[in-house]
Amino acid sequence: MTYSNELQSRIRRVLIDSLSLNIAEDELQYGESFEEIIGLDSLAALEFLTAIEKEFGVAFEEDELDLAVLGDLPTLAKLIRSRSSGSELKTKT
Amino acid sequence: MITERLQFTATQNPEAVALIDGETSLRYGDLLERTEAFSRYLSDELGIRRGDVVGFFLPNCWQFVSAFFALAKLGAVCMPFNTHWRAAELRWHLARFPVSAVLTNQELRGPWDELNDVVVPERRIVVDDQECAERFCATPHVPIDRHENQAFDDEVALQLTTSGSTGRPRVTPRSQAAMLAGAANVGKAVGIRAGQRCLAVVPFYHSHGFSNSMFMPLLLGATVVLQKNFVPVSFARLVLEHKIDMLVVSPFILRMVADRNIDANTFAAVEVCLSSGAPTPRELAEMWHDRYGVRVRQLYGSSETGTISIEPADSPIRGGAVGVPVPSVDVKVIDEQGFNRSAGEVGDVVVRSPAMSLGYLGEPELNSQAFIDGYFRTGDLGRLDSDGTLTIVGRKKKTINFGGIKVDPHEIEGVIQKMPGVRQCRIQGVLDPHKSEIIRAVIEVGSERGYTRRDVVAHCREFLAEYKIPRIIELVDEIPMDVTGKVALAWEPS
Repeated sequence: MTYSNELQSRIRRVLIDSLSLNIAEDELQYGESFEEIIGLDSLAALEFLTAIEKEFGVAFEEDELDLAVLGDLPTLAKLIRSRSSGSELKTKT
Repeated sequence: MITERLQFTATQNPEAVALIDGETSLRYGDLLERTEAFSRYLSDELGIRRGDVVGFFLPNCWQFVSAFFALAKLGAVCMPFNTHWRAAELRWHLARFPVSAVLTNQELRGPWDELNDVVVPERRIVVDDQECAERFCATPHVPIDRHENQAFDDEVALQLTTSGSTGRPRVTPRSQAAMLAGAANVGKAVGIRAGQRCLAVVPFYHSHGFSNSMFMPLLLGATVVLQKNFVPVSFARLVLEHKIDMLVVSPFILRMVADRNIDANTFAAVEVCLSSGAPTPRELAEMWHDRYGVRVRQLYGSSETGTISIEPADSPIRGGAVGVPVPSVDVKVIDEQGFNRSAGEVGDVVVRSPAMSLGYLGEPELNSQAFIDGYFRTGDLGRLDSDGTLTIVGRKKKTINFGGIKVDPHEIEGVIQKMPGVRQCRIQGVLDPHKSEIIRAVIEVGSERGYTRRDVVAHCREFLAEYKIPRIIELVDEIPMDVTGKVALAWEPS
């Protein structure tokens, strides 16, 4: 698995776990907007993005805590990469 | 009556700050002036009279507060809508509960453009546009003691919307006298005093947000700091910056703040923390106590009754305990025949309160079932212990409590069943690993239809606010039912 794939896989995992979605990881397709997958209510957005912050040790700005802003898997992965010091992106066991 | 009470508080503390909304800070004297100015605009230019209903599609903002008091001065009614509702939901609601005008703001006005046939543009007031800002502010100074008021004790002041389980939202009208009684009871129970600083982040379309974070603190001379949208970091910043000593929150807010690892000193000034909307898990309350030194007190109430009970500040943290009834509120636990249960026995929780609503608007049949001999049947199952502590153990009603907002399963079922090829659909509330209720849809579709989760989400989005879109979506060939007609497919949180 490439570095980028691994990051996206972890984001998928966090999305499924934090929102208790009953779907398999590979059902979430690359490039698909989060809006297509779930209801974008403010509770869901906060729960998911707070879980992402915990998982990757990054912090989002107030105006970014919105799934309409963070959009989709590649956008979020890119933002996490740019914010993270690097150590958090190594595989967690 | 409400106006007189506010004037009384303002006369006592004219220089005290009543509201802080971002850069806007209003002293009690200012709030009265703006209220007076806006009530003149409402009556002289919009023709709003006693008994007229005005819809509010606004976040927690100073204009909301001022407009509410302006309507109370006229004996007119504030009916707040959930600001997440879409045009389809608003249309449905307005067809049953018409309004004379709607107040909204520039950010939220979108859905109203599709509702010109229901509320004409001239009756839609955008409170933060330039013209309206002048209405609020441009009236000559009127000394506080010269305001002319009418009593309006029995006039309805507020109509909150709540969800039942019949597919129809319900509206609960509350009179001015009931609202004042409710505020006095909670004020006594909690010991609120002038000069306290309360953060109002729970939306005002919710009974807990409206009554406990805004109406009651303002009548008692506190300062209310408004937050439009809950974001954990800015919530913490406001608490610190304004030395907030009273928090009015929900379990969701408590959990999100705890998850962000906010610095423990942030909450050093907090003396009162009232959590409502859903049960606060015991572990979460313990964590707040240990980490922030804050005793989270569960508050139990409803749109129908106002606040029912609050945990005392010095009581031990117990799961499910919702404290003791607030002054003047009578709580009974009864059996199927209506007789009182003994202490410690589980039964139906029924409530009588001077703060109670006048029943559900336009629902005589429902009222005869829900309000019996002056007591409201909450639909909750609970027990009263010998020390007077009320504990809720379950619920009879089928509404889903999503983050403190009641959701009607039948409304969602009705929407999903409109999808071609859907044979039937069952909606239920299930607990996630944080013990919060989330919405699960089990949908029976003919095998010729290749629906996916995305199709269901997209379909729901046309008709339903985001918070009503099911989190768990299961597409099945056949829904197995148990003998009571419930879905027999078990759900285990992951």
